[in-house]
Amino acid sequence: MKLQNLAVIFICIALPLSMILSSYTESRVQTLSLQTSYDVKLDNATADAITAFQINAYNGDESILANYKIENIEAAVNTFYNSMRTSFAMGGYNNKAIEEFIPAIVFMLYDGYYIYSPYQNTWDQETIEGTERFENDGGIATYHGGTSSDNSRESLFGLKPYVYYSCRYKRGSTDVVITYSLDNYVSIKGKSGNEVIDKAGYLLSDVQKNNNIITYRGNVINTETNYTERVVVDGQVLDLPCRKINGTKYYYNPTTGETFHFFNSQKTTDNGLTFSITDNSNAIEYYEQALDLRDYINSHPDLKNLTTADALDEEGNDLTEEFGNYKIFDELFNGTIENEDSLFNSHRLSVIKYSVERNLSIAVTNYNNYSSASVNFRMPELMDYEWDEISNNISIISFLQGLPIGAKVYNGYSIVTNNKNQELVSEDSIYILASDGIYHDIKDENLYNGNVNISGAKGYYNINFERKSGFDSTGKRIYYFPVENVTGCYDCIVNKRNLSDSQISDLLNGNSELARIYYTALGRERYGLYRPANDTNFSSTSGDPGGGAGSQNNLQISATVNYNDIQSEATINLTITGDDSDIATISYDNVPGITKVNDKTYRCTQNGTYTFTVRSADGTQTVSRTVQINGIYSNADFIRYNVQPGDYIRYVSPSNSVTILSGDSGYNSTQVINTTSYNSGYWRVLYNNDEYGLQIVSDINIAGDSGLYLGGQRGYNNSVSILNNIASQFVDSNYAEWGRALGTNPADPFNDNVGNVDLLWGGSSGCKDYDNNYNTDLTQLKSYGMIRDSMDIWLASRTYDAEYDSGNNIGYHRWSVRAFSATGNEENKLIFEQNWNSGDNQTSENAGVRPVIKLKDGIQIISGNGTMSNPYVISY
Amino acid sequence: MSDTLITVIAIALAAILMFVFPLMTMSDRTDDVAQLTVETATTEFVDNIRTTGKITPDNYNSFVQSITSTGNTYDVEIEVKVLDENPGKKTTQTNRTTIGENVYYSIYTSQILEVVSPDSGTPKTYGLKEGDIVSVKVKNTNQTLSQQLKNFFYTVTGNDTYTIAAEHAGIVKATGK
Repeated sequence: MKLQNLAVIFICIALPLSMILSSYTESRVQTLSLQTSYDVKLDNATADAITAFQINAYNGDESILANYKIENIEAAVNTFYNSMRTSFAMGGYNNKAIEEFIPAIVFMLYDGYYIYSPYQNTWDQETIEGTERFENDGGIATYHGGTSSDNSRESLFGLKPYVYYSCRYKRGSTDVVITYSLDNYVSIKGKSGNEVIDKAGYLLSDVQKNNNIITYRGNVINTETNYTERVVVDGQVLDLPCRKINGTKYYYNPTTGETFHFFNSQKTTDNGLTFSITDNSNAIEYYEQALDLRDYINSHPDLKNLTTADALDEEGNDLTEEFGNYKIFDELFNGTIENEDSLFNSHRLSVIKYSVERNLSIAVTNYNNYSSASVNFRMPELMDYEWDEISNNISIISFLQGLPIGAKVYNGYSIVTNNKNQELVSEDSIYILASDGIYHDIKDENLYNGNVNISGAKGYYNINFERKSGFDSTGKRIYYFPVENVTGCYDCIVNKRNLSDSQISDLLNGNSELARIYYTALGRERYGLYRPANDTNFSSTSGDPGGGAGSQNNLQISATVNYNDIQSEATINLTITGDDSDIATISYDNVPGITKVNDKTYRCTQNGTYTFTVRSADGTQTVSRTVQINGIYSNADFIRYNVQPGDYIRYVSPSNSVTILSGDSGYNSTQVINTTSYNSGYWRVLYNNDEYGLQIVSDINIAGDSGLYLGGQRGYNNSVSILNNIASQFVDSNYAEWGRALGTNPADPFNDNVGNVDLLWGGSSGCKDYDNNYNTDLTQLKSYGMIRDSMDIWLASRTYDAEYDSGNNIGYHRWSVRAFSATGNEENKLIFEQNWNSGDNQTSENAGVRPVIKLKDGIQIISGNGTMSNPYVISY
Repeated sequence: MSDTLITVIAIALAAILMFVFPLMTMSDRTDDVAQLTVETATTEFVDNIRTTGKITPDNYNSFVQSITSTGNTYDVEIEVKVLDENPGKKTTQTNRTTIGENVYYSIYTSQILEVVSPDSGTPKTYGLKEGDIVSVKVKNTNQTLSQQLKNFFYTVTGNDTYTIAAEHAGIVKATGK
C-alpha cells in the first residue's frame, strides 16, 4: 500500500471526524453561552423591576396602603416585561410573547408575598352563553352583557391574593395563627379557650420599665423633642417638627400653628390629634409595645410554651417533620431573641421557606396547563443562602423556563433584593448624623475610636437622605432632601470601607451615648411604619354640635407639655378653641402630683396620666383630654440617665495653692499653682457611668499661660504623683471624693507602683516603666469634643523609647511624658535622655494641666441644662 | 530521484496529517471550552457582586480557581466606580431647581486586591453600595497550545496578544451588609 494511499484514507477518516467533533463542541459552547446570556438578561430585568418598585414607593405618600402597593407592584411587573422584551429584541411585541416562558414572579414584601402568575378567568353562566344585547324588561331597556364562549376560560396574568408568612399552631385549648415578618414583628391572632387573642408587636428581650422610665439594654429611651424634617408646603421648603404614625408623616408648623399631613400629594389639615408632634414619643411606645407583648405571652402559659411541633398545615396535619421541635418564644425570657442565630429566627425562616416553596411549586407546575411551550415546568431548588437573603430583605424572585437554547431547554431563576425602601427598617438602615453635618453608618469604626464627636448626634432612617421633589409656587419642580445640609461620610457611606465586623449590639455595648441615640432612632422609625393592626383614629372627639339656633360650637382641647431643665417637673398648658364665653368650667383630675397655677396652666411633679375636662357654658358639650407625662425624673435618675459626657457643670474648688519644688519636678525653679485662678472656669462631665461614677474635668488648662514644667529624670518619675497632687488641691470635700490627673486609669488612678526599666546596656535606669492608661481618657475627650485648648495638655502617663545605634555603637534611652495637642494628637514630651557615651541629657518641657474630680454619689443637680451658658448647678 | 522527493514530501505530509492536524483541531476545541468557562465564570462572579453588594475573598478565590482550572494563566482586571452623591447633594441643596451631578471615583485592581487577597494580613470583604458600577476583564497571558502550533505557520506579533478573553460589568443593586 503506498504511503499516499494511506494518507488519503487517513484524511477520509479523520476529516469528517474532526468536523463532527468541532460542530458538536461548538453547539455545546453556544448552549452554555446562551444560557449565561439569558441569566444576565433575567437578572437585569429583575433588577429593573425592583428599582421601579423602589422609586415608586419613595415618591408616593400613600404607597404604604394596600391598593397603592398593588399599583406599584403592577408597575414593577410591567417594567420587568419591558426590560425582558428589550433584551430579547422583541420590543415591538406585547407581553404575551414573553409571558409564555415566565411561570411566576414572586414579590416578597414585609409580612407576606404576592405571586404574579396566570389564572383562568371564569365568567358567570350568562356571560358565557349570552351575547351582548338590549332587552325590553318591562318597558325599560336593559343591557345584557356577555362574551363569546371561546373566552370563557381565558387565562390571564395577574397578581394572586396576598399570602402572609403565617402558620397555625394548636396547643391545648389555644389555637392561634402567628404571622411573621422580615424582622421581629409578629402578630398573634386566635383563641385560647374562650378568650380572643389579638396581639401584635416586636419581640425584644431586654426591655425594662422602672418608675415609668423605659430602658432597653440598659439605655434610657426618652421622648424626642426636636425631631424635624424638611417638606414642601405651599411651594416652600420648610424644616418642621415631624412625627410618623402608621406610615404617614404628620407635620406641625409653629409659625402658623397648623398640623397637617399629605395624602395624594394634597395637604390635609388635622385638628385635635390625640398625639403630640413636637414630643415625639414613638421610641417609647415601640418599647412599651414590646414589653406589653412580652408580658402578655408570659401570662399565657400556652403561648409561652408554644413549640414548633404544635404547627399545623391548612388541613390540620402535623408539621413536626418540617419544623422540628423546640420552643418558639423561649429566648424572649432567657436570652436574646433579636439575634440572627436565635431559635425564633430559624423558625421564622423555615415558616417563610415552607410557605413560599409550597405556593411557588404549585404555581410553577400548574403553569404547564397555561403555557403553549411544550416543556415540563419544574420548580428549581433555591440554595440556603438564597433563602437567607429572601427572608431578610424585600426581594423579587423571577423564573424563566422553556426557552430552547441549542442542546437543552433553559430553566433559570433570579433573586434581587433591595435594602433601601419604606417597607422594612433593618438594623443597618439607621444612620447617625453627627453635629458636624456628616452622617455615618452605625458600624463605622470612626464612631468608636474618638474620631467623631458624638455629642448632639441623632439617628435617622437612611431613606431620609434621598432626594425628593415637589413644586414651588410658580409650578416649577424643586428638589429637596428630608434631612438637609448634610453629606455622607467618605469612609463608611460613599466607600463601604472602615466598617467593623462585630455585631451592632457588641459595638454599642461600650458606648452608652451612641447606644441611646441608635436604639431611640430604631424604635422611632419602626414604630412609625404602617401596620394593618394599628388603630387609625387619631382625632379627639369634639362632641356633637350644640343645639340651639345658629350655634356652631365646636369645642376642642389640646395640651402642650414643657419640662424644666432638670426634668423634675412639667408644666401643662391647655389651649381651648371655641369662644371663651362658651366655656363654663375647666376641671381636672386632682390626683397627687398636680397643682393648678391657673385655669389653663398646671404643674406636675410626678409621672402619670392627667385628665382635663372642659364643659361648655350651655352644658351641652363636654370634651376631655388625657395627657401622659413620663419624662419626670427623680434627681438620682436624672443624673444617672440624662447627664452626659461633655455637659457643662458648675464646680468651684476650695482656695488652695500647691508648690512644686524643683527637686520634684526637675525644673530649675519652684512652681506654684493656685486653685483660685480657675474659679470662674468651666468644668465638664468626663464620665457618668456605673464603672467610673460621675467624674468631671476642667474645660481648659488650670495652670496659667505657661502651664507646668517637668524636666529630667525626676520630672519623668514624679510626673504622675505631681499631677495627681495638683488635682487633689481642687477637691471640695462637700462635693467631691478625690481628684486625679488626666491620663491615669479612671478606676484606679493612684496606683503608681511601676517598676524601673533596665537599661539596654545593663543596670537599672532608675526610670519607671511605661503605661497605656491614658487611652481611656483621651478617647473620651475626643469622642465628646472636649478638647478646646490652644496648648498641649499633660497626660499622667509615661513612655520611653530605647534604640541601639549599631553604626556608632551607642545605646539610647529616651524618656517622655505623654501629652495631647490642641488637635487631639498624642505628643510625647521628651525630657530625659540617657546614652552610653555622653551620659544623661535633661531637658524641660511644659504643658497645661487639667484635673479630674470624682463627685460624690449623693450629689443633686438643682438647675441648669448642661450647656455652656446654663451649666448644671450642684448641691450636696 | 523524483521518487525520493515525492517520498519525502509524502512522509512530511503524513506527519503533518497524523500528528499536527488532529492536535491543532483538538487544541482549538480546548481553547473554545476554556473561553466558555472563563466567560461563564466572569459573568457569574460579576452578577454575584451585583446582587450581594460585596466582593468576598471566598468568591474571588473561587473565581480565580475556576478560571485557572482551564490550564492557562490569566490577568484579571477589576474596576469599581464608586458613586459619590455628595457633590450632587450640595448642588441641589444650594439651588433647589437643579439636580446636581454625581461623581464616580474609580478604584482599580491592586487597591481591591489589597483588601480581598492581601500579601500579609487577613483578607477582608470589600463592600460596595447600591449605584456603584463594577466591571471585570479577564485576558489570558500564556500562549495556549493552539497558539504555539499555529506559530509554526504564522506568527502573531504585538504586545497584547491573547486568545481567551471575557468581560462583564454592571450596576450593583444592593448595598453589601
